[in-house]
Amino acid sequence: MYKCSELEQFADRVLEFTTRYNSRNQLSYGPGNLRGKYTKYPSYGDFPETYTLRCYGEWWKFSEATYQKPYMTNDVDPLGTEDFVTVHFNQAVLPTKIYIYETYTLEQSVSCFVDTIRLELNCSKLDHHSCFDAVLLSGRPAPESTFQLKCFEAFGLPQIATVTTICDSNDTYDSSSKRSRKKNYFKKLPYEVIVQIFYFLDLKSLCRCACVSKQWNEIARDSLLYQNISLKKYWYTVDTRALDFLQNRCKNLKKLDLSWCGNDDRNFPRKFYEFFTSTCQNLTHISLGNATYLNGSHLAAFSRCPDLVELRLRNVTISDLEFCHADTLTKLTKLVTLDFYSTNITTNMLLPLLKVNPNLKYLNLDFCDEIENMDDVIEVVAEYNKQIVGWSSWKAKRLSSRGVGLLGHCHCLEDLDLGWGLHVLPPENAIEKIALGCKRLKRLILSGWRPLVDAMLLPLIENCKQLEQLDLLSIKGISKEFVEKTLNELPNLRLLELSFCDSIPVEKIEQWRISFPHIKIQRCSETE
Amino acid sequence: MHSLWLTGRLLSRAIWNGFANISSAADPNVHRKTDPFLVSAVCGFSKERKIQRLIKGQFGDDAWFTARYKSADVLGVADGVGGWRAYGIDPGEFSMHLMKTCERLIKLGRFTPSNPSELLARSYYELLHHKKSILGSSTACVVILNRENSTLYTANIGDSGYMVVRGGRIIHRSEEQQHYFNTPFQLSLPPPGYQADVLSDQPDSAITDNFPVEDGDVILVATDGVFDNLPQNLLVSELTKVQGERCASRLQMVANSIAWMARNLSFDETFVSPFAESAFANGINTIGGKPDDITVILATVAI
Repeated sequence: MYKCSELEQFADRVLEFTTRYNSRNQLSYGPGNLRGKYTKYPSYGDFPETYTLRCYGEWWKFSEATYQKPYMTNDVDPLGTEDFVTVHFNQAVLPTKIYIYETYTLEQSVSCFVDTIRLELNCSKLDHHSCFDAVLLSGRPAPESTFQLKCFEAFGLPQIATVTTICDSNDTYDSSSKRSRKKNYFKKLPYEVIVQIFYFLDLKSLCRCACVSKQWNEIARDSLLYQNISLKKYWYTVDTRALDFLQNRCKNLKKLDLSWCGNDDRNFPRKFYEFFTSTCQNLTHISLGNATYLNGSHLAAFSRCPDLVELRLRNVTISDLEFCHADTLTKLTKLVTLDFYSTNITTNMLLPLLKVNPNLKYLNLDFCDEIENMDDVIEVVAEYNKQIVGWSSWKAKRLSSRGVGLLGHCHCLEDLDLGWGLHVLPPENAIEKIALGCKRLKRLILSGWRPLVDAMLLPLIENCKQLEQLDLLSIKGISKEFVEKTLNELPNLRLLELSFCDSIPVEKIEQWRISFPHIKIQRCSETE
Repeated sequence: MHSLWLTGRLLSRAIWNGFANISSAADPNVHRKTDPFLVSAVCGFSKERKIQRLIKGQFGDDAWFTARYKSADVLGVADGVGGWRAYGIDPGEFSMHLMKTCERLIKLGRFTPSNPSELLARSYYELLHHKKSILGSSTACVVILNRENSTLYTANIGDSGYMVVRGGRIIHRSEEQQHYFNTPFQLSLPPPGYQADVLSDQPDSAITDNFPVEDGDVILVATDGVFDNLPQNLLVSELTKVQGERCASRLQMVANSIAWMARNLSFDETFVSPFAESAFANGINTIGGKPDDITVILATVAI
């Protein structure tokens, strides 16, 4: 039997991730901080030297610009995975233990491979931001000689063995079995009724049903059952074969979620293109988070879905975007939701698209570093997309008070995320313009707007009485009188973020927490 | 008696500091013999006479770091502008975070060895995006030895600086950047409402320079507390003593003596310091040293 001492190693690289707090080229709070040994652990607090997640709890699910409602309501991930981060280790081992060094609130689930580990994260139960410092993998190193390798194969790599592939349910049904002599009552049910029953099954069960009998196999192929497909949950097993399997069935595809899938397969981009062009004429919703393979020809294919309502391309870098024509996407005119979270979309590409979509309601432009001037985008939105309800531009480049003020023309706005938008420039009367224009505001994120002071925020309290969530992280210029007024005068307020607002004493926060128990008041500071 | 005890305490602290530094920055054994590297030593004092809590990388409002990554050895100092104390802001915080961030950037390899001003700029922009709002302003000087081509790349904002001595002569010396007398160029993050009134220089206004170094060259990186109080000839004669020195503890002794001299002269009310001369040239009649925080990083090039 193969024996070897335990090897402990820290992550040496971060391969992929879905969420982050800070811009791509910045170090603080970035996923790069997972590399190597812990730096802050065992200190407790929210440190820039750790990998910090942006969302926590259920609060952000209010924002449709950011949160994608599940496409397959009958196939929901029991773990509730929302985000992941994949780390690589120097040496492949048979894992025995994984240590995750956290410096702030956390709860997560883990699925693992041999030398890379993907931490799947579910933040919805969390009280506040979570911060990771390092990941330590402990295990026996992979053997070098072939003999030892065989030993390993004999034991089977358990973590891979537990993964069932959805392709397992191959289309061939073994007709030679003569076991079933019992009466098949299902034969008496009309076809439509069985389809209706099958409609409640998730993908895995559907595949299993296909193996039961010829009749079931046939029914399980019905394209009515494959209208809404979400493969995000099965990212580890989706490859070209899976797409082949689905291609015959998806004649009537409406919603397609292929997030996180296909990044390990070289032929996937080509296959995906083929799959898409043959099945997706009637598509209304598409989500392709972390699809690193996307290029201009895929974009051109999207534009051939005239009914597209929702387009979500999170964490995508389109490889040859600079060669794409600015009008590539302008055939899409029914869009309601556009999510370009952390993509390389450019102003040239975005503005024509916004101009032809008068029904647009939700727009996410977080971390879009290629958009040189956010003011220009806002100008177009204020003119052409009057119905906009949700706007998100976390860490926007070149946002000025003029641009923010223009958002005041969008009277339907309910959800406004402008985190770290004006952290240096003076905000002047931008907030006042928003407060007077957007009286329906329910969620407002102003994280890191350092130059703000009480007087600039007061119009907000006086006009936006429907506010439920207000984020004032890292604003030093607000006083406790202002916070008191906020708590008293906003009847619907549920969340108030006051972390790193050093001007407000902790004792005061404790008092407020007692006297306003229905309001969640967040407060965290770096504690050395 | 009390002052003797104080002196002893300060000196022993300086020496302790030196040892703490040996482990982090001067470990010649890890290099191949062909690559040049820096042997360095650090010493400094806070301007405050009372003993404060000692934090590594900080002397009063001054901050420093030494770090290395693959093909580069980096030294840096920053001097927090004391005027912020009047606004209830700890001036040491900004300089400390600026240097700490530089150090992290280097350890993660997020810098170009030939571009130290980019390093300062990156560090500055990182601070802008901290959740904790760090306010204040600081001068800064960063020196990078690119081991691949034995060239020293420098960036300097304000009146901290460096000096390179070879064979008893100054080969290179940083230029002071001042808006007006005793008001150096500075990177700053002013509190809300003060933006218009505060002198703030962009990181790209740093003066950069590069020049080849030879075996044995002595590099001094220090804050203005040193340059304002020690006459140049005194500095050069001290630096010449360690020409070609590879023993970190002997280097430490010289660093200690430079810092100690600077400290003593800074409290000497009759001494005509370089600061007093400069003040006189600007029409201000004053005499004596300039009490200030003092940071000395002394390094020799070993090839």
